Amino acid sequence: MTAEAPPLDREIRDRDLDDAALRAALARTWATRSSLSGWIGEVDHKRIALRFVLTALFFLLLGGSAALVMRLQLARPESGLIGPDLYNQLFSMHGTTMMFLFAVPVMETIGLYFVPLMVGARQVAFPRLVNFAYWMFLFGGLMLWIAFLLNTGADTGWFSYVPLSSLQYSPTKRVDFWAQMVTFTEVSSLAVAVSLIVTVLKHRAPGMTLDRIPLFVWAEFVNAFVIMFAMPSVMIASTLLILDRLVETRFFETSAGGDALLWQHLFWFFGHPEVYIIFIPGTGMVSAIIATFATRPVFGYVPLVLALIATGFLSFGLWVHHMFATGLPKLGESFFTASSMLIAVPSGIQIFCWIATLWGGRPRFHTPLLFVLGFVFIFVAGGMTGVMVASVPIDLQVHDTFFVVAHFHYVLIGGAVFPLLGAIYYWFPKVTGRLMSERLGAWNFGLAFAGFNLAFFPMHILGLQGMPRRVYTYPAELGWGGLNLLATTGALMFAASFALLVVNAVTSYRSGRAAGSNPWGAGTLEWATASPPPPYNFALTPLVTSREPLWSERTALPVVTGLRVDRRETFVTSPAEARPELRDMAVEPSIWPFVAALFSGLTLFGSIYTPWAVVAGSPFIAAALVGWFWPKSAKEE
Amino acid sequence: MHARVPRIRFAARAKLRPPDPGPCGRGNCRPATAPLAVLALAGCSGPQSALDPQGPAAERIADLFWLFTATLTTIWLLVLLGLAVAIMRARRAPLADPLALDPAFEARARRVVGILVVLTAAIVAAFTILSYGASRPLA
Repeated sequence: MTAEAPPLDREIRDRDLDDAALRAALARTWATRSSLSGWIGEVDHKRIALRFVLTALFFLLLGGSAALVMRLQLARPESGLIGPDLYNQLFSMHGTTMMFLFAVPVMETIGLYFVPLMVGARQVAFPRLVNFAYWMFLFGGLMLWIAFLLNTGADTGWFSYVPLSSLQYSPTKRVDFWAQMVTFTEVSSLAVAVSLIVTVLKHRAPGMTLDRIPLFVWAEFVNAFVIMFAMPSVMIASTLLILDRLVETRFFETSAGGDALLWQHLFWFFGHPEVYIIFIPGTGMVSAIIATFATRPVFGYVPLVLALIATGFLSFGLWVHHMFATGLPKLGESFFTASSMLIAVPSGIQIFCWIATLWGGRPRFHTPLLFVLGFVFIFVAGGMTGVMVASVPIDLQVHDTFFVVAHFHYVLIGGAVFPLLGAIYYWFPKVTGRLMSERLGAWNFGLAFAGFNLAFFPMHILGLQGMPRRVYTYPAELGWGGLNLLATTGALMFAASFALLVVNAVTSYRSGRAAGSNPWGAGTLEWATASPPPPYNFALTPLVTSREPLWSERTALPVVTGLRVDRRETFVTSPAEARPELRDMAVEPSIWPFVAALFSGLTLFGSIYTPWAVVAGSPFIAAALVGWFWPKSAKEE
Repeated sequence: MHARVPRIRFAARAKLRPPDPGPCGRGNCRPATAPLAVLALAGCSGPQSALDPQGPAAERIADLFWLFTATLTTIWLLVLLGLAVAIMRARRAPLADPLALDPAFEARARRVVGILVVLTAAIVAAFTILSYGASRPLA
């Protein structure tokens, strides 16, 4: 217990107080004090998640700007706007930023915000770990972009193949910054994944059995497991690369018995699941939005959950399809073709179930649903080209061309960014208490949809015509100028749609219509509490009796009482049946996670220049961790 | 040490080489045989075009490509048609109770979705076998 908690003669339970007194007591117990140490030691999952999401959206703007500069360069043949060196840095920074600093964190931490609310929990599990994760993420992302501003931006592509990224061919520090940034962000993603898994397994409101978990929570849950199994692979890969570059180990050097292909295997063993790490939460957002705006439960709950789990497993069996051009034995080639095509089956199940939901529902066409309809159009098209590149002979034709660029932008922007934009419109009222403008929202959708397709559809044709990816210019005689100009026009439109989103968000935040607790008439628990939710999420923990508690309990939610309000107590429930097991103490804010992240960051940064940084930094990290885990004298019950 | 990895011969896609203005560059685009107007652009041949096969192996791959494109475009359009029909016909006044589902619709939807999933699996299985056949001369 910290010193601020007032001494109490007796325990106060939630059932002893009337509603107003209960809320006042909870607000006192759960609020973060407004001081610098409270701010950096934040443990409220909503505030940390909001920082994560806003930071990731900031990196989206940076990564998007890099893309725009590239598109302007490619708008006409033999353009002299930027040179090859800057172009290399821009496409590497674009890919790295979008994958590591935008897509993964944003999709994961929207879960960090809403998973506890949707399962009726007061707090996320291990909030200090989550706070540590935020600072690691911020430091890693800033490091990469500050290095770029100092002309040390990553320039070997987002997957930094050896031998190009070896010391011999990349003698500057550019690759080192890239590799260490990977370590920062993967530590961060892993920490949040651990927290989400435990939250879903142990902090669901009583009564929320496995088959009552909302589909968005299922998606984030499966996703967290995929992160847990995929991320270690790339952390090992980037660490081995750093070792090769820093202390001259020879993991990837063929002449010394190392193996250049090892890098590709390690990277893609992570890199393919990475695609699903971005896409799986997107499917959860789609399910949440479709249920609400079709005004009915999603059709095929069980098949959808099984499809999510199947996608999670299958995502680990496909990585070699990124490496078809390296040459494979016949059997291996066929295996990875088959597994790559097989992923179409769970994706198909999802699409069919969503269409059936709309078919049997009474759709209301608000902006979030528009983005979901756009998602189906774009993502299914990307899935189709995915089936094409799963075929080895076709893949060898289009490998490393703009066809592949078109394919993965259709899949990633269609599968993740469109659901994300829908989710922003959907949950903005919950987070801020105000609705976004529907009129601007419709414009935002129209501009994004048209701009996206105009930008990326021509790339399919450019790729088939043989335009390689990652070239900074091309001769006019090849006849690619027209389609490239079209693509650049589309890219500008697409960028304008994000400007519109920012305008809409800012004006709505200031003067939007008040939302109330459940503006869309949705059925899941996050809509049962106020908008924005108070620090304690729910004054009384709901007792869950169905999948859509707000639809089945029309008047008042049944609740579970018995938690103390004079300290931060939460329920711990059993993993499958969500039976209450014990009352647990949630932690208070602490500055130690920040200190640990700071020392870890400085150590990783220093190790770019000298291996001795690890030696020098370790005692400081150890000291910070000791401070973090120092036993408290809180009385257990 | 290592066994020699069999090298894959690239049948059709040329390496980057000095620009050689193909028929497109000279402004006499071949008449496109593609069914869709937008794909007519892709009918342009060129030194690097994957759609301008110059040998029997490359032709087999190009045939495979067009088979995939035609089938998958059809499927994509059918999915969008399904989506369009779903949102067109579903304009009914919102019911008071979102949980009041029509059992007849649910049963029908289960059957239709089941059949579509089986079809999806069958199509990707067929594509896998076709790819296997077409990639044989490459290995």
